[in-house]
Amino acid sequence: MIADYLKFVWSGLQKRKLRSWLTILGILIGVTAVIALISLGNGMNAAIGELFSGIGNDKIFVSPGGMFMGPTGEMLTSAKIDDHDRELIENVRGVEQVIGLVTRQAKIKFGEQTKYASVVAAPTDSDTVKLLDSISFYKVGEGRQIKNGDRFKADIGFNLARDMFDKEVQLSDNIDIEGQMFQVVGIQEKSGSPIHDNMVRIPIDTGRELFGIPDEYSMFIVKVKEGSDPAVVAENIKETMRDDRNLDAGKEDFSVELTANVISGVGTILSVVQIALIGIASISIIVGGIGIMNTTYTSVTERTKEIGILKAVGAQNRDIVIIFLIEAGILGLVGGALGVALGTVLAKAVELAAANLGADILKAALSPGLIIGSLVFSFGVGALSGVLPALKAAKMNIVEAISRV
Amino acid sequence: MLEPVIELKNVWKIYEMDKVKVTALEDVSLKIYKGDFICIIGPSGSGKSTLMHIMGTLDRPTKGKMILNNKDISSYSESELAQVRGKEIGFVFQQFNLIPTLTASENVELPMIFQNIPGDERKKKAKDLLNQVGLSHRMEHLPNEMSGGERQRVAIARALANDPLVVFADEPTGNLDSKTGKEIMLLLSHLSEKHGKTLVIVTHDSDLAEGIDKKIRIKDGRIVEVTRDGKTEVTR
Repeated sequence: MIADYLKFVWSGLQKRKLRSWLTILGILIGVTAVIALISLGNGMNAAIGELFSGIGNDKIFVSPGGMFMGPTGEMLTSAKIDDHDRELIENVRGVEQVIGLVTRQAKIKFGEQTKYASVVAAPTDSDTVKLLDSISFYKVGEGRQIKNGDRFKADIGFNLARDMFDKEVQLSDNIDIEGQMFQVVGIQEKSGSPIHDNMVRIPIDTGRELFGIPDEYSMFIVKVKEGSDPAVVAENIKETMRDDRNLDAGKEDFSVELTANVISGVGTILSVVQIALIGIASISIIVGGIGIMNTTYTSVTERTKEIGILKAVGAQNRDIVIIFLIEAGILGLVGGALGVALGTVLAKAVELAAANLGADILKAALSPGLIIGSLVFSFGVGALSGVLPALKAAKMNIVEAISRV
Repeated sequence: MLEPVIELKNVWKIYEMDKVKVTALEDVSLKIYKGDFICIIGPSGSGKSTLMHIMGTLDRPTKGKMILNNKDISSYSESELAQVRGKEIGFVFQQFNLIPTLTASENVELPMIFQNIPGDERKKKAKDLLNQVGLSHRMEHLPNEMSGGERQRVAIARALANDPLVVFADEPTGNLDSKTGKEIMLLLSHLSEKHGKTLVIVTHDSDLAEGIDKKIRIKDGRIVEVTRDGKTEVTR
């Protein structure tokens, strides 16, 4: 039955090819945009999740200032964290290890080229090295980690080694950081985080001298003991530091963040942006729906005589309604299917472009659910747009309809 | 005593157009029996088409009763009427009224679709009927690839698709040349007789009515004369 209606509908659409395609275009554009935005947004969320999962959920980040900016982010704030805070945190229940890092933007010279990059000054004791090597941002792939006794040695990020300078930086090459020569002893694995893939890591004592920072830290990476709840430990750290600084809750001049919070924080911002964009794209789907309604009305008017004929040979009003709902639905569905295809291409194109810019961790995430959902949705928009025209068709007076020339 | 297939009892049809009432049918009563070959004759505007529309369930009387196969269908709902129409009535129109985007065979299948007849059975029946109207070579052709006479043959095949009680033909030769018109009339009467159908022809053309055993003459919305085998039965 439905198959027979389809044949009838299809033959009509074929006859009005240009108009059908223009109508389809209306839906196609909207669905393309929605598919591309959703798949890229999901891909971005997944990429961020993956990025941070390399850190591990048992890490807590403590930094000065009211807001967390990222593992090497710097804050414009007068508040400081120093060895006193480090000792405090080390004594909080559930804390296994605390690493204090000092980070600065610095001038890096290699060959004749000078660039700016983040320099992370990190302790070189074996416990710290072991912990850093377990975090994807600091894992060394080639060469070795800087260790105790190293003074002017450095580990460098993957992209810094490969792409930053015209000439690739190799192990044992010397690079100039703020006028001081360092020998490269290790190149980090690619982490997918542009900041970490473009940084330089040097021993903390050397860094303190180089930057003239005798006692401050830029951040602490806290490892939570196995079996302890990172959220509880983070709360305890916050309370301890607050008490020590005589601050009220909510007025902290430092921040304590869990890996999970960082992910969900970035994820929330992304989701809001994504929802706004999808909302805008959805408007174009609604406009497409109105286009379908318009076309279906025209089709009903044009097929008045045929509607009369169908009724004369025994079609019930219900049959007529179904026929025109299918017609409108097909316009939506074809638009949706093409939109899914085009949206996929668009998302993949963005993925490629991003990879060319170094963000090859971004993968467009197209789930079967998204594709099926888009198809069902666009068929629904089409069919819904067809309701009024279809009812008009069904209510037509047979005698009048059939006597149309 | 023969039971009538169609019986009209005091049927009125009044159209209201911009507050002006136009009486298309005025107190019409008639009976049509199974196997009848009837011609309804009248000039244009006489109400003959309205009469056919009401008997064919395409329209409802304003007043009076329409009885089809012993059932009073005056009070039927629209969907009930559609079902009855699809099953018991076949139409042949002056304008052929085929669906232009469907092939001859698909056009013949159309009434069967709405009776939920399975596809293979429909195809077989359509093939058989197109064979009977001499169009076995035109099965997959679209209407605009066929001559007027051929299109009307497709329409005749379509009218017989659901094996209806009554076939109505509204000026079936009106768009055809006289030779083709005669062929179509012959085919209509031949097939109706062969399948035992009641056939009602509506026309303004007295020549066409010649040789038809029963004639109903209508004028100004009233039946003015009923003739059977040359004998006038009713006059008013």
